[in-house]
Amino acid sequence: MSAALLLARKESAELVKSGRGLAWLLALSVALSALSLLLVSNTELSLLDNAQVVYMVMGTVTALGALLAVLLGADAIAGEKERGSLVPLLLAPLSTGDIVFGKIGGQLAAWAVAYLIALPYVWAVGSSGQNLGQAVAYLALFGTPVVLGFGFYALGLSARFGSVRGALAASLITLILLASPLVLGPGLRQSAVGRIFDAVNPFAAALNSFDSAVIDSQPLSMQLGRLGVALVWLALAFWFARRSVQALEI
Amino acid sequence: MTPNCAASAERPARLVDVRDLVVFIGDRPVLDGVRLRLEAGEIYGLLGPNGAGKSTTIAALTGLRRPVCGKVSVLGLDPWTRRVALHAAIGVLPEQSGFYEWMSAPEYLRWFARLYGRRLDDTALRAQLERVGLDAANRKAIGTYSRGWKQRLGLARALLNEPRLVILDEPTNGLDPRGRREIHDVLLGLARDRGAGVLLCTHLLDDVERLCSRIGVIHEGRTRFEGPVGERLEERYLELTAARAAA
Amino acid sequence: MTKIATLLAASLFLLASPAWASLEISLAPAPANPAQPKMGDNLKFESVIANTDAASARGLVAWISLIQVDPGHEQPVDLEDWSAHKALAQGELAPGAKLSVEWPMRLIQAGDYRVVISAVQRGASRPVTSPLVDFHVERKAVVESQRILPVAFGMPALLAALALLRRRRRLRVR
Repeated sequence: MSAALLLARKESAELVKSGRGLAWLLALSVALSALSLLLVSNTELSLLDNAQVVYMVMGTVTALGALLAVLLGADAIAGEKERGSLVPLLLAPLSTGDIVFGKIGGQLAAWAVAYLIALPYVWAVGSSGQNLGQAVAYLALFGTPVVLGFGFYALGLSARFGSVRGALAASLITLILLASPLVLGPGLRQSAVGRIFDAVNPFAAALNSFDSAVIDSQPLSMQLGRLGVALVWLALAFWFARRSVQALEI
Repeated sequence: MTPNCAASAERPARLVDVRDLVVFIGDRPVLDGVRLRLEAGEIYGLLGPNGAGKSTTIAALTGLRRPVCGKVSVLGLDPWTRRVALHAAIGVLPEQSGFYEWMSAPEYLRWFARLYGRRLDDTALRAQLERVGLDAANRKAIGTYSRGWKQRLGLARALLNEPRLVILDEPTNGLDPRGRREIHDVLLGLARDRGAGVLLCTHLLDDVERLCSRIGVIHEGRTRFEGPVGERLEERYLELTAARAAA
Repeated sequence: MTKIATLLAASLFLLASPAWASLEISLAPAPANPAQPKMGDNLKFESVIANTDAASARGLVAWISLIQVDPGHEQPVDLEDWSAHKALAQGELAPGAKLSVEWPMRLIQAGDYRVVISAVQRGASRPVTSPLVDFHVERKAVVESQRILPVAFGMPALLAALALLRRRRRLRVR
């Protein structure tokens, strides 16, 4: 078994056995349950309103997934350093790629479980509406590169800062910045600056694709540009993480 | 698994060769002229007061810190550029050695062994643990271990891959006198019976006198002495490390 | 005298007539439409725009309008999500010619609706409309509490149970 896979399995097992992972998944489940129960109280929904709710659930899952990736990524290097277990790991015959992919492997496992937990909610909310199949597929297709990108980014900051607090603060600020146009509303996003920001923002790319596919029933061919933005984000974040771990000195 | 091709293709008798090592942390020179030579089958004591640069020297030898200049050769490899190959052939016990506290000792050693490309069966696992005085039947989480037990586990981890060079930073920390003696016997066996080189970084001059054939004394980032242990070790050590006041 | 009066009346009539062609629009639901349409169904309406005049109708634009007529909720409906075919333009409709148009739509919301096709040509002072066609859209349960409630309560309960089980196992090992 490759060193990266060994490390990924250890990271995944640690999430379960240390209790952090289960606590986080429980929090995700409670958030989605709250959203779903709000929906149950409204019986006058149209197809469109129902599609809006499916879109909201998808957006919530992606945002929480990105937050989880930031929490895990910020701890990945700096957390081990603070606990004293980083040096023995760095002294094992692991390449930079092994360490980066191994750490991300744990995050990928966490995202996969979060996605599986979200599926019953998407089904429960969207099965009588429209475009449920697209919702499930797009959440995986766009959610995964966005979430893993945040994971790589936070991992890189973790290696550079050497402190969990510093890496977490910087990662969260970036996450909030990238999510801010969605909070500010469509008016501000119509300006030239807003449109440019929207075009290069991986978070916006994912959410706009969810909107297009689930609410407006547009085909995948119209989302390829946005998929490209998400994949470029993933590639850049991976490059940043790799460079940061490579330059790591104890 | 990283094959140990480069390290085994040439088997120099001189395991470590360091000359004029300079290391900066930020813009501050932490090491400014360290030299060190370690031969196969030798136990070398690296001494120095707190903040002298011992741990930084070990970091440079193990590829965890990049030298600014100087020559560093460990098992014939450049530690910074051939890090992975080097790590496959050496064992290191750092001074601050943390563990995955949710694992048990057997789980921990088995996992680390897999990183070295080894699978530990029950017999091999028992041998690794008993060599350092740990109970192979103990399935409790490492988080419940005392400091001494953790130190022994760290040593077991450092010896997992049967290394040709073992670098130990304060290996007897937290151990009682019996435990220290047991570790001494392990280290002597490594050097004498297997021809491994041992670089021992410690404050305990008793350990140095019992184990080491040669020593190096670092003070203020520079090697002040390198040679046989000799007589009146404590007096000479205090003289060498007091030279700053005189200077 | 009678001849003069007749000539005068004819001239007045000619002067008062509009300078654009007269159109007639028919509208009917497509035969294949479901008998009791519900939310999510696709409907089609078929219209024929006929030029019943001797002159061509130029610059013709026709469009579909939808109005919700549920008591207390009367309002025009934004066809944004209902239909991608909201209008058409035709440069010229020759005298006596007929233009057949299909108007597809997806039923987004339950309720009672009226649909009408309107058309206007260049120079005309008022549009021409088809008769209104009424239809009812049955509500479909897009919120099924029997699906949501078990998931909303069951998932957190399952994860909490896993966490408790894990905690008990850890305490037992200790």
